[in-house]
Amino acid sequence: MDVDWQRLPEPEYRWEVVSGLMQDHAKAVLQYCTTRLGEGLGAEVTQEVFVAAWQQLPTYRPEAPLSTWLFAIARHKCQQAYRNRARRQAIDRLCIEEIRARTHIGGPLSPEGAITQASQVARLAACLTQLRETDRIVLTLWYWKELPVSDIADVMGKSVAAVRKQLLRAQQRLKELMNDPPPT
Amino acid sequence: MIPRQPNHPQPDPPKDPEIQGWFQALGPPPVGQVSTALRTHVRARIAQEQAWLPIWSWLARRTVPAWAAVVAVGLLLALGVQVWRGIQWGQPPLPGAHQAQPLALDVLGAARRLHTYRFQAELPHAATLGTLVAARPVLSAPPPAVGFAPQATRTAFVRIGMLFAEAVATFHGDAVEATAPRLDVLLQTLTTVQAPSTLTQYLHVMQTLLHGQQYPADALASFLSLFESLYEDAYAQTSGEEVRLFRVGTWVENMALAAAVGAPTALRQEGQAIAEVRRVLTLLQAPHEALDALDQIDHLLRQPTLTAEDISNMHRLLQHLQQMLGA
Repeated sequence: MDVDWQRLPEPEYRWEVVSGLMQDHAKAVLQYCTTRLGEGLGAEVTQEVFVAAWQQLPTYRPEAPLSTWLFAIARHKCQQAYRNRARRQAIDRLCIEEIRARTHIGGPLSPEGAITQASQVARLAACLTQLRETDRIVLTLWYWKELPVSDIADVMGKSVAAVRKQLLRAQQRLKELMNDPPPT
Repeated sequence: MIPRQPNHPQPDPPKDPEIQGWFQALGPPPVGQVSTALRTHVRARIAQEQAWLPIWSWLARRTVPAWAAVVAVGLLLALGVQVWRGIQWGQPPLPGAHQAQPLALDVLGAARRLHTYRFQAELPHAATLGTLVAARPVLSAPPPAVGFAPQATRTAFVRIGMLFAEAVATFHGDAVEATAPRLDVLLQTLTTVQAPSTLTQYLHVMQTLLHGQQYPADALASFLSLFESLYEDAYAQTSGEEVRLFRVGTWVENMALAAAVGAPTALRQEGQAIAEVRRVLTLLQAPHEALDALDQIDHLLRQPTLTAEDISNMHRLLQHLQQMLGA
């Protein structure tokens, strides 16, 4: 994308640049934010990323590609979302809702297999709700969203060592809960 | 800004196969779909940012000492707390709310009870309204406002009006299957703005009646249309702001429906309130695009005759307005 740096202080020109960025990168930015924050909040933060890009374009220096710069904004916005208590609670709630929604997913399974799978998913959701908020988030990001530990640490604002330790503890607790006989 | 490198070179620990199996049963995680309205939403938010820019740039130009900045921030916080407390005890009225209130309320249809239902029923081809509404996606509920966000609350009242008028329209033409999702979002939005419990209770009863399928659509439509009067009574003791915002919402929806079915007389009749709608949207700090759209509608309404092309243009503008207000 060719950008005329001289014209970046003009708001309308910046909008043209941001429109181009949206056309090329909206899908990838949305995927990045949704993986980290869940579907609804991911879409909301994606909007914020492009608004911030519009605001910050005059300060952009072309040492890094524009896409790298855009993803740096996305990363920062996701970190901000985790730091905000209300939003962190929304991330946690969304993650459980997304898992619960999977109870109804059909697949190439026998009726018995589908029932077993649905009950297992429901049980996983129930057990996750008994964990601490951050344990739930870390397990979901690691096992379901399959983010590397360094990315989890980055978005949650923790050290890699702290996330590894938390993962160990959360895994152990989840296994205990899942292997306990369900309450009658 | 360059992304930080991973802060630890150690390889990731192995995943527990048992837990991995449980999560694999969930299937792939959601990745999100890019909304077609993303561009519009970002544009609207940028327009709001631009409205604040002159103030920020003025502040940035001042070379004030640090202590003055601290005092200014302190004063702003104190003011914020005062206003927020005001919101807790009752929404602050829009500026000028007390002056032209009776006239404004009349212009937006207070004189006629059950205005939305009657207006829609009198439109030509009213039986197609339900199908028109059912073909549109349901507006989403606004996220809960965090902290000091009166703007979001005000927009929510406009959405309540739009959702209500949409829900009523689903009964014209028997598209009752589209009513329930709209009622759900309407309820969520009312909860978000902490509306009086009589309103949410009324809608809960409406939902029960709808799910029970014991009553004909006409009876249900009458029951729902009474919500308009109930809403206005519920907010009768306040500044009138909630009612005016609600009426702007119903106005935009009714105008869009009238344009969709090509009803010039109805458009002119309802269009008489455009100046008041513009005033409310200006006070709401609606994006410039919204006010521009309203001005273009006004211009079209002032023409001696409304051609099919004019009505089609008006429909496009109203849809754009709906999209911006429902954002």
